[in-house]
Amino acid sequence: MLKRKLLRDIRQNYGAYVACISVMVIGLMFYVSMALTLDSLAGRQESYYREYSFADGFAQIDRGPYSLVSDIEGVPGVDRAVGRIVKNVFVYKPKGEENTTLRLVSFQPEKQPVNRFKLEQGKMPSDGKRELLVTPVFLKANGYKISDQIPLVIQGREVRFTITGTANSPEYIYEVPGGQTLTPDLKIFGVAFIPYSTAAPMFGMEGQVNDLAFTLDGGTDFTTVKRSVSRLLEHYGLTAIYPRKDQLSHSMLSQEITQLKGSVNTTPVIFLSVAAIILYIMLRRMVEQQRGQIGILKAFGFRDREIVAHYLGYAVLMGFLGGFLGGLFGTWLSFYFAKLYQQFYNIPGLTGKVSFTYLAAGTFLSLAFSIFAGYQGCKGALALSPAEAMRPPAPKVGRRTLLERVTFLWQVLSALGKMAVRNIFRSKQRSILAVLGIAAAFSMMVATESSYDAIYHLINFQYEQVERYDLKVSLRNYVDKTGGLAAARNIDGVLGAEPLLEVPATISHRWLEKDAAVTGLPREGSMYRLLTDKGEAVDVPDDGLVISTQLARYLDVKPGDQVTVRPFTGDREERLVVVRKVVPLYVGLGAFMDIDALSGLLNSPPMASSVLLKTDPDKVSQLRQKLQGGSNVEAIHDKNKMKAQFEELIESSTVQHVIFLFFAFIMGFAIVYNVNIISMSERQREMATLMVLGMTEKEIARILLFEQGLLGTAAVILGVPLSYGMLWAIINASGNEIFNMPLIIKPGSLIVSLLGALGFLLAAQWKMKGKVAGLSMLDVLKQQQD
Amino acid sequence: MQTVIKTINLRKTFYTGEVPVHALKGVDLEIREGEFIVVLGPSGSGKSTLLNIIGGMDSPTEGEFFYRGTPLQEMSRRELTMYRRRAVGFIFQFYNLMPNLTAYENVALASELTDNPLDPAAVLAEVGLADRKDHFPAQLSGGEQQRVAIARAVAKNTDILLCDEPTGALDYETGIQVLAYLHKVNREMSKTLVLITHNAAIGGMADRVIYIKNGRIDRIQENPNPVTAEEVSW
Repeated sequence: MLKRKLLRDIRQNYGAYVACISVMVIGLMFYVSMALTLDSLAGRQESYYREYSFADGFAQIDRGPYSLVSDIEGVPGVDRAVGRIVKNVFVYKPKGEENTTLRLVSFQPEKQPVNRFKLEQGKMPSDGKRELLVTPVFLKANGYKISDQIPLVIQGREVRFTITGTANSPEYIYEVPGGQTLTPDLKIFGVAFIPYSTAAPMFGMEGQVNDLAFTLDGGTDFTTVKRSVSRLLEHYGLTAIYPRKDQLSHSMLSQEITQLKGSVNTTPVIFLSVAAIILYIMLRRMVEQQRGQIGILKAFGFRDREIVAHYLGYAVLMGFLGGFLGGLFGTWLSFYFAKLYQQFYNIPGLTGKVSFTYLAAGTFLSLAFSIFAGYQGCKGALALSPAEAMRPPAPKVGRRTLLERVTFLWQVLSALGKMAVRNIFRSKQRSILAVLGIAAAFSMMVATESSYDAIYHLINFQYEQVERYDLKVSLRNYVDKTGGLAAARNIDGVLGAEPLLEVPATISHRWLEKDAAVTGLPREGSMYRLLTDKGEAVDVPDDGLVISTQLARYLDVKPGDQVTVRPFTGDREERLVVVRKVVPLYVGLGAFMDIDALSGLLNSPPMASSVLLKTDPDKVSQLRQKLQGGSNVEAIHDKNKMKAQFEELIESSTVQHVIFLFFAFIMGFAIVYNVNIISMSERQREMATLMVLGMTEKEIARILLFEQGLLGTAAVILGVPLSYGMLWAIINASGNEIFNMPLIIKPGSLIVSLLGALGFLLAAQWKMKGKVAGLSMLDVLKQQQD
Repeated sequence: MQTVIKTINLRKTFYTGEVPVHALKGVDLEIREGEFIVVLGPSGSGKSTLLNIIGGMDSPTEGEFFYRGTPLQEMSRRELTMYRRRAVGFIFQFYNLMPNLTAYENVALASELTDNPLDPAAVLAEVGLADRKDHFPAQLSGGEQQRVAIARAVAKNTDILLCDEPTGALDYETGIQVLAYLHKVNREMSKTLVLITHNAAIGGMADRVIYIKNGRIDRIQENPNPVTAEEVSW
């Protein structure tokens, strides 16, 4: 019978329950879907790495004998090694369309103990033949079919290759050329596998390699072998040596996994806490309202345990429903997430999952939250003796509030206003919970809006303010600065050119060290500018370094400190350089110097490794074609394209953006609506009296609105620092060496969130007006008071 | 004297479940300005229903009902609200004060509702509560609370005061005190006062006593020499 009472109670006030359950469902949906995705992503990463022997260490050299492979394997701590030829070449585009770079990675099927790849379709290329494998996504994105021919520009000549199949490698799960490119764009960059026997003669590298990778014995740390391996490779033009954690594809994927882990741990907690707050308020109210009934039940001889169990039944029912529905939706969503991830990560076998474990875990989690909140809410029923319970609770004594000391403010308020203020203070606990809940919903909106602002700011800062060129042409070998520039300026379609010198180096300060590229910039340059966070240009100093905030933090240096720079090129001698300035930079680690001073540091005449170009839009096709034929051209980097691609990516996530805002809205609405219902049921009598006095429904609803306005204002004030905290956490969780989001909250985001908060306040209010209209003055007033 | 309230063949039927309950079965009544009217009847006689209709809290099922010549039976919710606001002051058996407003603020709240209210402080002083004005209802006795309720109704400065068993929850002496204040309001401020009760003794104070029985007016008794509150006893 008590069960029937439970169901009827719920039906009477279903709005409040639905709101509460929705919040739980949303939380659990996030939890289950992200946990499932995390599971399959991390699980696949691990098994994929293991099956295809993903390397623990990587090194790049200019060129060296194949015997280096066995030399490295001889280093104590190294298990197996592989040597390859890795070359970036252009796909031949006769009309000078976008430049597509293909990274050719050589392989020897019989000598590939490390970094193997998985043949997905087709067959392996034959030895010595002009055949290759591309990734399935590259094949699809560029409209190729297996056995199609793909023309490449090799050593300035067009060479046709046949695509014999597709393959994926753990080395290129995230298929991007380098740290500057943040998202894969397969029309611009792809990876292909070709037999060593084909690659070596083609690049004049018979018996030689330029890329090495090795696995370590179990328990060996990379740093212990780094020195020995470096020494082996030093004479062959070592340009980079780094552990797995710095490998681009790995670090992007790990980054994503870490971020996902953070979300799995926090998002459901936020939503479930809010749901718990609502449930607590609801049950507490119900117990108070039904004290008479509780007294009767107790008088009948129901035990305390049975009565508490009855009230907990509400919590259990809601927790169960919320958890179960959330789990179902979450499972469904995990399939969608798997698809989404496959757009960015080439992980074979990544799918959504149906997991009873997580369904159970989710249900358990929401049950735990609900029961905890429910017990807190209804334990009041225990303390009452039957007779006591049947008496109405002691009336709340009106009390003066602190606010009344601010006389001038207090006197402005009408009697209704005073009532509202005292009501807020009368149920302090509930008001605090409401403020917290509204603040959480508000901050969620601000954080959602601001993370978009941050990305737009990043794009604008990096691609409009810092980088002001059209094309960046990276060269295979350093050239004389003056000569190179003159050559570049002579090409038809080039409106302006500036040199850039990028020198990979190890920068260290005390015991901290970091591998980063030191970029030499011309002092009067305008195509790559260093800026303060306010957007003012920073002059490149005559000598010394300008470094990014992240690098400064990493090395723990401030302007005036000396750091050691050990370049990977030239004599590789350590040099002491003073850090002159620290500037914000959102992409890359960033260390900058005057280009001539940097050349001087390497004891060489002024050099350049890249040229930045301003181009004539009408002639850009011819220009591209000309450039991709240049034998010293390694890559052409189209800044505008990159920016557009980035913007497109953001726009494509508009749906998620809106969904998140919507969830925050629902959460806010659920809280306000419940608080409203409760304060209304508590004050039915007051309201009926006000109606008899001749107040309109609108005026009465306005009291609630005023109260909520006050709570809302407090929540927004609290919400601003809370938003900063939330954003800070998001940015911290997502920041890495490759890119960092700035922490900015624009007035626009605050306004949007404010409107959102106003929206859910008013929506809840609008629902309330109906309830006020439904109040029967006669019924309410007939009841005796105290 | 002008007629303030007039009802013609007022009927009210409630439907509780299947069985219709005829609470009022045709009531014709005229209430004149400044009158003190006591409506007497046993519980269930329909007197509260009559008061609720006169007070604009309920509408009749049938019949006509005028306030100063304006028909009210077909008014919208909003118009009825405005009628309650401008024409009627209500005093309840259980006071129904706002628990978190002080005595003064309770009165001020009502005075905020009309265009020409009386000064809340002055009205409170009239009912003898000048020194209790900053107390909250929970800090006042029942009699004091009822006096605040009277002040609240009076402060709106409306034509009619409707009282539903105003002494029902009070002890004898306090009840007499409250009646005295009501009497004073009626005589000195010439407010029309309609008081419903089942306490026949109070009838002695009225200009007219209306006996209600079974949803009908049983009889009306004119009282040429009403007594004061202090002379009433039960």
